[in-house]
Amino acid sequence: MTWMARWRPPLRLAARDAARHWVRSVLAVVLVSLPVAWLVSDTSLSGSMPTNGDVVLARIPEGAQAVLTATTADRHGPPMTQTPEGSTTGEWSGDGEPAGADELARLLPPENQLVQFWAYGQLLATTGTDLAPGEESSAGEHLVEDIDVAQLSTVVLLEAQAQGLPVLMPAVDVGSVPTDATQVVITSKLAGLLGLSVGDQMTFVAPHQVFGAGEFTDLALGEAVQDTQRGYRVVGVAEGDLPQAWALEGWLAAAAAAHPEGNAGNWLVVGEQPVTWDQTKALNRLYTVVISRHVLTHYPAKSELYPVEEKRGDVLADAVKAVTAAGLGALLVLFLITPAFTVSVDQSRRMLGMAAAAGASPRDLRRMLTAQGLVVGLVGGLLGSVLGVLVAVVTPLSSVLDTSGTPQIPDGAEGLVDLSVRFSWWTFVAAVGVGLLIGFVATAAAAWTASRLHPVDALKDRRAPRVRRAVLDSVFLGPAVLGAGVATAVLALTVVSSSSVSRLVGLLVAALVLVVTGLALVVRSVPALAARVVTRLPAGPRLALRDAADHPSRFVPAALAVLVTVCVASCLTVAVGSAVANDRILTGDVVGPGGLTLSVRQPISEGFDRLVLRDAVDTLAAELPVVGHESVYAVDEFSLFSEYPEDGGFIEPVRPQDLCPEGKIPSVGSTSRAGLPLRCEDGDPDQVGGGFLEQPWWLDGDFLVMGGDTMRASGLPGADKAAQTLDAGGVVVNDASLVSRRGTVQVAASQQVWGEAERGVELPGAFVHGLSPKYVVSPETARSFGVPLTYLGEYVVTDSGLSASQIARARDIIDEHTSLVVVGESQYQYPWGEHKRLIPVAVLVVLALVATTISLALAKTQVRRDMVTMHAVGASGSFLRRFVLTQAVVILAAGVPLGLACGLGLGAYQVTWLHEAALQEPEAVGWGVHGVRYYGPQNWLETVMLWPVQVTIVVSVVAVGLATALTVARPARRLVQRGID
Amino acid sequence: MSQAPTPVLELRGVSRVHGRDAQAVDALVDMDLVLAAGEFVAVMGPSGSGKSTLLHLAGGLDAPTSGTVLVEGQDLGALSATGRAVLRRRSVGYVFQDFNLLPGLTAAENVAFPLELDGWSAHKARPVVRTVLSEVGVEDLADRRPEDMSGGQAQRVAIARALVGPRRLLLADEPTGALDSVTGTEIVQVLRSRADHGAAVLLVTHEPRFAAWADRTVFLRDGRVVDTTGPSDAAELLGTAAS
Amino acid sequence: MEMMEVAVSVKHALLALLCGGPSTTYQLKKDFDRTTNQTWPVNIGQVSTTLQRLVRDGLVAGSDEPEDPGTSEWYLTDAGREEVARWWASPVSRERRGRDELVVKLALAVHVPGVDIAAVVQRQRSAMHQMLHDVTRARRTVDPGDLAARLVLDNHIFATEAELRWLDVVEAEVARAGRATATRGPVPAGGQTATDQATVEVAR
Repeated sequence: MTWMARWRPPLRLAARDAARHWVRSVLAVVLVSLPVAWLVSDTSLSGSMPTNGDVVLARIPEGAQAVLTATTADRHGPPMTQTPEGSTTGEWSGDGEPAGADELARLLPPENQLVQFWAYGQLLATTGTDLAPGEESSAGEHLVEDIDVAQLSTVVLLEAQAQGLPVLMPAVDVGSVPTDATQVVITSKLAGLLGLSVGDQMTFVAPHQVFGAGEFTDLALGEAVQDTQRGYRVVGVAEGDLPQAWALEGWLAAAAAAHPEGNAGNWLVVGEQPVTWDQTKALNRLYTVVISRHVLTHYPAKSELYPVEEKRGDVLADAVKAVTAAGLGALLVLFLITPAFTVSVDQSRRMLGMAAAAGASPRDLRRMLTAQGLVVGLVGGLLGSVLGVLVAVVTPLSSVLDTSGTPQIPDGAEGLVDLSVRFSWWTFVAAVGVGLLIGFVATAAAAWTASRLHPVDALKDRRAPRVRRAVLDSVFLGPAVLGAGVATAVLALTVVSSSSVSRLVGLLVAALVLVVTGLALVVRSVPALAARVVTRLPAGPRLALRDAADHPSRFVPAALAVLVTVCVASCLTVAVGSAVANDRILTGDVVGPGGLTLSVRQPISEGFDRLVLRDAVDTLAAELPVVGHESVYAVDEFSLFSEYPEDGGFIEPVRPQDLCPEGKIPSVGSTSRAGLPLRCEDGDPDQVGGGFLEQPWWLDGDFLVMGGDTMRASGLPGADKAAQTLDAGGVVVNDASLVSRRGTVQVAASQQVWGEAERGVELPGAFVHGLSPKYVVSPETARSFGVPLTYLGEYVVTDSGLSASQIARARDIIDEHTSLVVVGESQYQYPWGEHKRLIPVAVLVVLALVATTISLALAKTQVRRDMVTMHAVGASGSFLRRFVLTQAVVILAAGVPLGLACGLGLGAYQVTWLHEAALQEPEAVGWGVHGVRYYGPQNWLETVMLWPVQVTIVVSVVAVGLATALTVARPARRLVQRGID
Repeated sequence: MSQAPTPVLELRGVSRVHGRDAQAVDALVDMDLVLAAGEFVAVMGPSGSGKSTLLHLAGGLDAPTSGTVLVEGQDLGALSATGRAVLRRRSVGYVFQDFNLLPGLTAAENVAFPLELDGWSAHKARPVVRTVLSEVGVEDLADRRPEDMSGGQAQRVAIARALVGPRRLLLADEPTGALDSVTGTEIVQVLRSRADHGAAVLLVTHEPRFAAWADRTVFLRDGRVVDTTGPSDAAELLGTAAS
Repeated sequence: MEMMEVAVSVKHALLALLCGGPSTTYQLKKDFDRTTNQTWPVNIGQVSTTLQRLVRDGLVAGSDEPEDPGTSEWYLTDAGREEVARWWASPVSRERRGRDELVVKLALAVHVPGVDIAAVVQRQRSAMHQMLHDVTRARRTVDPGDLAARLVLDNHIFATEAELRWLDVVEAEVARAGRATATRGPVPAGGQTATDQATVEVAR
């Protein structure tokens, strides 16, 4: 008998049966389609999501084969390695000489051309001078204080050799391309900001170099060209959203040639021949970073790449995530779908008995059920594929690009990348396969039951007498197994540092299995326990409890589904809250939620900057409830570094000596909040404030200077007390261990930054959690120590803070008004960061509700006959309502509290695990090509439960679950004929 | 009698006990029965007398506690569950009081079901199915579903399925129970005609007038045969009834 | 008992048969036998006597030629026609059927101590089943067009079935009352009692 012949009768029967019980089939199909849809959309999107490679590829101009960056690294230093996307580890700027044109050309295909280009983003463009095109002078001449803000804009200038300019420049809409070095093509944005058109003249100004200000800081080039300005005539306008300009090599190139120190060379390879990976590696030996179109589209095999050492911490973190995600996801789907089929076996008993009497063997009966699962799985897989395609197409397609390791082609900090979603046939095949697999597994238990069916009992629709296994009914087995699972998990945590990855994964999997089994057993015993305890219940609830206790195959998966979804939702919430809290500790804020800061993108002079910012505040006040502004300053470290003033000075807080033993410092986590027990770990005792704190680019330095009013305007938590301390001449810090018990901070004062501390002073101190700079003093205090200050920006003052939409509107207003001003806001408006981070939680809550609804609906179909009898015997509608309500309550009572406890426990466990894993790799900090620092691994310093969100989860699941129960409990209006199924 | 061809059904000393120890119930006690091809035997008795058990044992749906059940000479005890299922595809057909037909399949598909389980292609089964449906008089219902048929029609289709293919033993458990008198009589007539065409029919019924269509009637009480009757001219042959 | 039962039927049967036209005694007997399919055999003497009675009652008239009974023709009077019409219109009541010997027998069996009621019931049942088998077989061979014959046979079948059901109830009631005692007097083994014989005769 052929394979097909064997399956035809069961398949036909399954298809017809699925059609008859279409509600159950639809439910099951939808359930199967969900994970399939997720799979399809995820792979299609991430398949086309800009990986670093795609982003980088998009930045290679059309017509160019590769972009080369010849660094100034010392050629006698460690060899340079890079990924095909251009990411390197290590610093590659120094005193060496960048590879020259001849050296590079020797390694490249001869038919190609090497084109050099220069780019600088720190320029100002203005129409407020009378420089003739091509004329140069020093910056500041004819650039007066009373110049209108509307005549100024920042601009990014890109110069290239003649062969390269057409490749780098977008198509010119109006006018023509530059023919000599006095001509320039500008973007429509710049034209709009300054009111320029073809034929007008303008000047580019290179202001005095401010150390570290701005993003695309080519420090060496900036230094070479600073304090000069040059006139240009606009000959063409091209489409563009950012202020940019293109010109033939001239000003920047000359400056770079005159001051070659530290100037990296930027080259384009133009031509027909591709630049291969081998050529890239050869160029690496010249300390040149190569981003090649060919390499990115024909990705080299793993063996050809530079060896990358796996970071243990990352691997462990990934392992935990993979195991939990896969395990929970699979369990969830099974718990939701399996009851549907188990119930169908129950109901189809008679049909199966009939089939057995007609000659179906146990294997045929099993096939009948598996066939149902396969049919549902197939349809679900197809539906899921369609859904997945829809999701992938509809998802908003924008992303902020990761700026690390990008080549030096400035085209703006944020770019909208056009994501073309890629679908492959394999995705669909896999999707359908997954659907079939899910259907198969979901019906496995039911199929096994069917094959063991006793035909005689089945025909009489009598269930085979249940073997009450006393062991399973024991109340203690569940908690015991659960405890064993938790113990295993804790064990895994304690041996994190000493065991191999595979052994840890094994422990984790074992822990997961034990915990799940333990939970299942505990859940199973709940209704029986409840029935025993609460004997004085009315008939309806008592019956419902007994029904749940008698039908574990229906009740347990339902309760477990609720449990798992609530657990995952709760765990995710903890993860989100902890991640955000960790972020806040490590990065910090300069401004609280509802606050706004303004600063100048390209500082020129204090007076001028103040003018620009005041103008910006006035513009905002026209539309938003802004009442004023307060100034903030930074230390003028430049003057401190370059000169040795006699009347200069510097202060720095000093950590008390007796806090930690020799060679150790207080950990970041324990000093991030007041009142935490101190934990000491290895570190440099001179480094105050912990080793991993990062700063946002906007803020330079660990030392911020602002008055009490400014602190109040910041809206940071604890700002009032901090303001008082500042006004009293004290210091505000972000490291709680610096503040002594008396409320003071020890400060060391000196003449220079690097000099010995000459004297120690005790000042009043205050601690602010989540403050970004390490320490803050008022301008008066700073001046009293002789610290030179530089104007940094303004805090916007409002009566009661700005809402999220108002802040967004403020950004738009400023963006339309001028490109000189940068808007800053709090990174952490809510304890969970942004709202969209809670979307997965919401999805899971919906899933929990779906689980509850499905299980209640299934329970109803099973007890429908009994309910009809009850109704016929005279049970009132309220009796039935109480019956179903009790069932819902039992399912929710078994699932929700345990689920919440598990979620909180799992969340805390995961955070602790990730913290331990991160401790394995304390030094993972990387450097990009031009000094852009990678963020280190998350330290997971705090476990935040986000109680409001947890409570919302519980309340919504319970409320909607009960509401569903009440809807389901409506008794059937006509007596259901005791039909076949 | 020993020269007669192999009886289609034979029970030798068959007993069936349900439950254990104190709850043990004797459903059948030391039962002997022989059914030859073309014989129509009725089984009567009060409820709980073991009638249905006898039928379940005869077709391999249940296994005896002791004794041997032979169908066409094959000992059912020697077969596995699958083997007995195969038996029900090829040798034995069941007709029950209700719920005989698989819902969702048409009459023709229902009748073809055991054949298809046995590996017949739908194409090969079709003419056989048509033939047997016309033999029971419902060939025009071939594409109708069970829920669209009257009880009598459904029972006819069930009989057709019970006899399709090479099967010769028909076990009917109160097939007329859910039908009115007239339709019930028609059904029993169909059984009679099948027996006349060579099938061996074992009919469990509690209606004496239906039992009267059989060649002989066996009376069970408490799992034992207490009497056997038949038409007058068969009286002396009935000495084979066990006490 | 039996005779009376048959007599009542014969009287009205003859009246009904005469509706179709005048007929001789002999012809009437043959018609009656044919109609009842020999299940209630009646002899010519019964017919004659019944006819005389009918004449006496004024329902039937005929030529009186006692020397040649076979040829005298009988015909319905007006009164006779009325009587037939009335008979058709009125249902047959239970009392007319007379005392049932089986009922009397079982009532006595229950009343009289020392009788093995279960055995009596079983033997009656066995015989009735046998009769059923026979009647069913006869019915199978009857001409499909002979509605009257089938009607009569079916009546036998259903009536017997009704009595069998009644026997089930009797058995159950007796068992409940705990009266199923062992026999004191020997019941003739294997042989047929008077009742059995009668029922067999009826069947024939």
